[in-house]
Amino acid sequence: MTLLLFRHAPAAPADPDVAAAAGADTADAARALTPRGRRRFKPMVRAVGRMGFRVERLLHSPLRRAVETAELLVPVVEGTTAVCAELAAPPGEALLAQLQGECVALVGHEPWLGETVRLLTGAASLGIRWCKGGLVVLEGQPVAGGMRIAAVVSPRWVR
Amino acid sequence: MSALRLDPWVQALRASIARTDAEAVHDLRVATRRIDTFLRMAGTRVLRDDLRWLRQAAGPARDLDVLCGRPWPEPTRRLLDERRLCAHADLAHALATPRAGALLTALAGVPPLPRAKARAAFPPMLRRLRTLRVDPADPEQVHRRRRLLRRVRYAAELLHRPTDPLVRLQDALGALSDSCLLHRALPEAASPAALQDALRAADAAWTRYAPRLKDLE
Repeated sequence: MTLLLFRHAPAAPADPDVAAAAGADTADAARALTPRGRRRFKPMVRAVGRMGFRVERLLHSPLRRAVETAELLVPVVEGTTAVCAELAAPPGEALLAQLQGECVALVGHEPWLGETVRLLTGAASLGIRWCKGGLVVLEGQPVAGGMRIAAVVSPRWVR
Repeated sequence: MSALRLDPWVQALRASIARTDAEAVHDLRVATRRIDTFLRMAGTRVLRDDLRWLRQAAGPARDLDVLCGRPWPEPTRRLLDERRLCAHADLAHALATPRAGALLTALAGVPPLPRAKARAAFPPMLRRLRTLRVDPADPEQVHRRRRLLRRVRYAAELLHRPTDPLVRLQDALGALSDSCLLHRALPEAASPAALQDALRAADAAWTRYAPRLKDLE
């Protein structure tokens, strides 16, 4: 399996009014991508298409910035999309059980995406700073320790 | 000019999930369809597969709720009641999954739809309905028209446009849908003549009301 892990594109900070009215979690969930964040991520989507990845299944966190990043990835999705609660929490078996197919993409958040990579590769540390809109490509079997890092792509490299 | 908000339908979906009566299943399916229409008008693809998943999870329960509302001989009633219980248990299982909860969280973050964008999305939907080629003798094709018709109706309601011909057509095609449901679920109890009658009535309704659809543009 090829697994594409995207950190969400740059988003606006949480609205303090929403935080005061509905709580910090609600305000965090409502953070939208900034116009600049969208602009920065679009070349990444084109690059993923040029690299020949055809995503069978796109799983994304339910938080707005991840949903909006997933929407930008739709041009490279040939299968289905699904909202995945496990991408907004520390990774575990429930997430790994959903990794089925030849080419799957995830859109999520740090630090959980990094923990997902560590879980799947068995690596103690990633050794990279995963910037927003960045991509890590894994290959192998989607079980703990069953994958290896095939590529790391920063959005700065694909403008 | 104010934008269109999804909140009322997300609240309706949330409320239908919290209830356990038969109408709740119907309300859940309607809410998912209305939200799907909203997202289509916004040009959004993500979350629509999740809505379809939820709607399909509720489909067997709704079908059996409809069938159980009819009079049946005792053995058939027992069989349908058993199937209905299983279908509702399957639906309850789907609604308890993290995916269902995550879908509600994600829908709460969908931004308002600018009215101008929604208005621009309506005429192509209506044109697609008007120009869809359908064999009036083929229940599957007529059903496809009904699905499209329902979507156009929800879009019209979102925009506060008149819906009279759409509602009348949907009622006429709904009778056909009930007949098809019976053929699918209990073919031994279904009458081929009734299905043909329903197809003829649906075609007559289309011939009568379709010319009025142009006025909705």
